[in-house]
Amino acid sequence: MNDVAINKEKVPRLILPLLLVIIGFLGLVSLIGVIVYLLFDYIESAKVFQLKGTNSTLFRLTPHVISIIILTVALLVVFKIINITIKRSDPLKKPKGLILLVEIFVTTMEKFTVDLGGERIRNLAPYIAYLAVYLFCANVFGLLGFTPPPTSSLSVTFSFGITTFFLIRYYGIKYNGIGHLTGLFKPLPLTPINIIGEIAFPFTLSLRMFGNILSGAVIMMLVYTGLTGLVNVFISLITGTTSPISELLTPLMVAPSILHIYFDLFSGFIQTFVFILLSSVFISSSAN
Amino acid sequence: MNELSNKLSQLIESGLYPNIITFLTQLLATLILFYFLKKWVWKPMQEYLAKRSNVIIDELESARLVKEEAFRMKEEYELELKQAKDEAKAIIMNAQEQAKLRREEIIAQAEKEAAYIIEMANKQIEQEKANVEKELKSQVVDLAFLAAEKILTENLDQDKNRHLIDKFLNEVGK
Repeated sequence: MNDVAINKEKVPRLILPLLLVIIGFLGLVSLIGVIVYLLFDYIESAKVFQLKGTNSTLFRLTPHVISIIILTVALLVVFKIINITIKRSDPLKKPKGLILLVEIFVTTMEKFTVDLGGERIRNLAPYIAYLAVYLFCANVFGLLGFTPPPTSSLSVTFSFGITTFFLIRYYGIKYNGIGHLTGLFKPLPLTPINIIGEIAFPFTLSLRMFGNILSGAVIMMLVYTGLTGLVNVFISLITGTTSPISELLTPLMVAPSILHIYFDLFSGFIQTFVFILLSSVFISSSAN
Repeated sequence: MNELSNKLSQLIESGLYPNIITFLTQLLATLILFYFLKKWVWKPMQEYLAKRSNVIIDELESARLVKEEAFRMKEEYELELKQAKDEAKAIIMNAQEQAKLRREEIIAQAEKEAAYIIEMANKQIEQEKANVEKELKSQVVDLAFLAAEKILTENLDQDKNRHLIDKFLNEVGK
């Protein structure tokens, strides 16, 4: 009886801050988004980065840059909030709420890394944790709906691939010295295959995630367009005219939400997990 | 339909074609976020956990020390208790032995005294007997003298003597 009464009292006390945090986070993201979007629009119209006389895509500003900046600033704010929370909390008291979440995350990431690669790559745990946080947030970024998720750009995923590639080299040389390089020539006839395998790693890693997330975004775009057309047909059948309301009605249907759960949440989680698993496995195999 | 294909091609184009600006922005974002994740979240959390584990380790250590102390004291007390029991036993044994000795001593003394008293009584009886005999003898002698005197003073005939002796015996018998 007593426990039930306490729980009943506690639930509203938990729900309200949680709602505030979510609303605050979304508001923050939207605010940053609007500011960055205006800036971006200005830069794009002024063609600051466009090389003179060329129409090269290499230097064009893409919407992914906006996503990256929004996500970075939002995550920085979250990190600072966590930092303040940790500093204020007493380690001797029972952890709860945000601090419990962070504690579980940090210990899980450390355990994950050390289980895979041993004590040698314990330093790598914050990088793996960073990858997990950033990639998951980036993969589910499409849910917010203003710009495409950062990971649907090959340049973004390739930058992670190249970072992991250099980390593999760094840990290999740090722990195996010259043996890391001579290992490439171990079965001498297979040298070209070894070298190609090593170089291909960042590409496979980045293309896998890019392809998955981009295909998810493409399918969602097709589904939205198709459903909007369908709603338009129904509305014109009933009222005899087309109306702009159809675009607002589409997201209320059930099909997009199920597909969002699959393509954004599930696929995003799986891709993040595969990415950090492969990264830590390759780094630990080069370190040991 | 044309609009859709435009949107799609824009999405895929912007994602697929290599783009230096996106690449560098992401690298910069990675550097910044990694640095601040490590500085603001990772290290404080590690310190937080370390503080807690240190406190727990300290508590466990002190609990272990207290337990050891308790065990030590228990052993000490058990030893003391055993010693006290042994001592008590020894005291009781000693007392019993002494009591036995004392009893024997008392009995021996009593026997000695009894023997002495009996001996004294026997001696006294003997002496009394001797005294009585002595007195009897002297009285018999006195009696003989008295009888002889009477016979000598009244020198009579045999009948008269007989009569006198009877008379004397009667006198003596009185």
